[in-house]
Amino acid sequence: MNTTSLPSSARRDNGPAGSRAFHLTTEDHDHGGGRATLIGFWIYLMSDALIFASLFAVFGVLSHHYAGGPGPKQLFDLSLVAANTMLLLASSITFGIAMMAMEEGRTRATVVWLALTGLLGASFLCVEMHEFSELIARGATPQSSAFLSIFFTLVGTHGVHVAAGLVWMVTLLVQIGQRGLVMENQRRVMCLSMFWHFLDIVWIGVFTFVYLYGVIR
Amino acid sequence: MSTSALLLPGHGNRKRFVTGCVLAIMLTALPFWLVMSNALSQGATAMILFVFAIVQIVVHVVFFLHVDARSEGGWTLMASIFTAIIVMLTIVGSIWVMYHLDANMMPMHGTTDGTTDASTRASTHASTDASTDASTHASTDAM
Repeated sequence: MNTTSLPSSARRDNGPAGSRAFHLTTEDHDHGGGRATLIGFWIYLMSDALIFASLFAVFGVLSHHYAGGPGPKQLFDLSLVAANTMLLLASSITFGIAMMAMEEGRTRATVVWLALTGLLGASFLCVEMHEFSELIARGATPQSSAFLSIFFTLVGTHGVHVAAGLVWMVTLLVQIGQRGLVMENQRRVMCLSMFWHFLDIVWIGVFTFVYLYGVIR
Repeated sequence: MSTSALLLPGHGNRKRFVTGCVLAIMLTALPFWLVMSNALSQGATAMILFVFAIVQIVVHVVFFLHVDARSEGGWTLMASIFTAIIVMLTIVGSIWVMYHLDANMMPMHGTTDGTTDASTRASTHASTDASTDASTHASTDAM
């Protein structure tokens, strides 16, 4: 039983005249799988973390197999990566603000902050695609060494996740526009929030182990 | 228990969120500054990088994802700990095993580990000598 301070919008549905019930007052299947969805989505994120773990493991094994090609020192532009990292971190923060706006039931603020999060995510992807195209233009293609293969696979897989998150975000903005912050949409925003923060966590691993450690190694 | 209570699990006071943001920004900016300014030695920088990355991951999980012993009846925490163990096993185990495989399987390249290289050669010589001795004895006995 969740007895922590509930937001006023939550307390409204809590039975007659705010009375406390220490048992389930509703059928468990009644609420569109709210709790079950969140735990289930968390389990999905954990399995996604295992995909990234195996990619990081392969990167760790292959990270010095340059096949005579260029290494991280010659390839990476750290100021670009720093800017990109800040974009993604900022998008995580704006999503957090969107979540707080949603708790307070402010639909318009939620939509605005979500849209801003999407824009930051899109600019992250643009910078990353610019970086990739620069690398490929300089001949550092995924085919040229084992290091570059796993670099493009790892960072690209993260990028694909961000792209999927953006599609999800646009869909969600349309859904909120149509029906407002109804229960189903709140649940979806919470799942997307978990997904988005998770991607930022994966990026911590990427910028630390791939870029920063790659350059000093 | 109402559904909206489930969907909004004490998501947080502002102060907590701001603390998380400040920590995250510092833990991101410092490693970049360390590497780009070459302020410290390579070993010290690497150590700080790894420690900061792990701390920042914990900060994000606790302050942004709100995982603690109470959320979802402890299930998210359990799943996270399990995943963290598997992730560490996968990454550390792979790198460890493959490093030794590299060191043992490619002595001719001599790029990975000099001592293994030398000892492999030494043992090869030893066994060659031994077999030569044995065959010499054998032929002597036969005669």
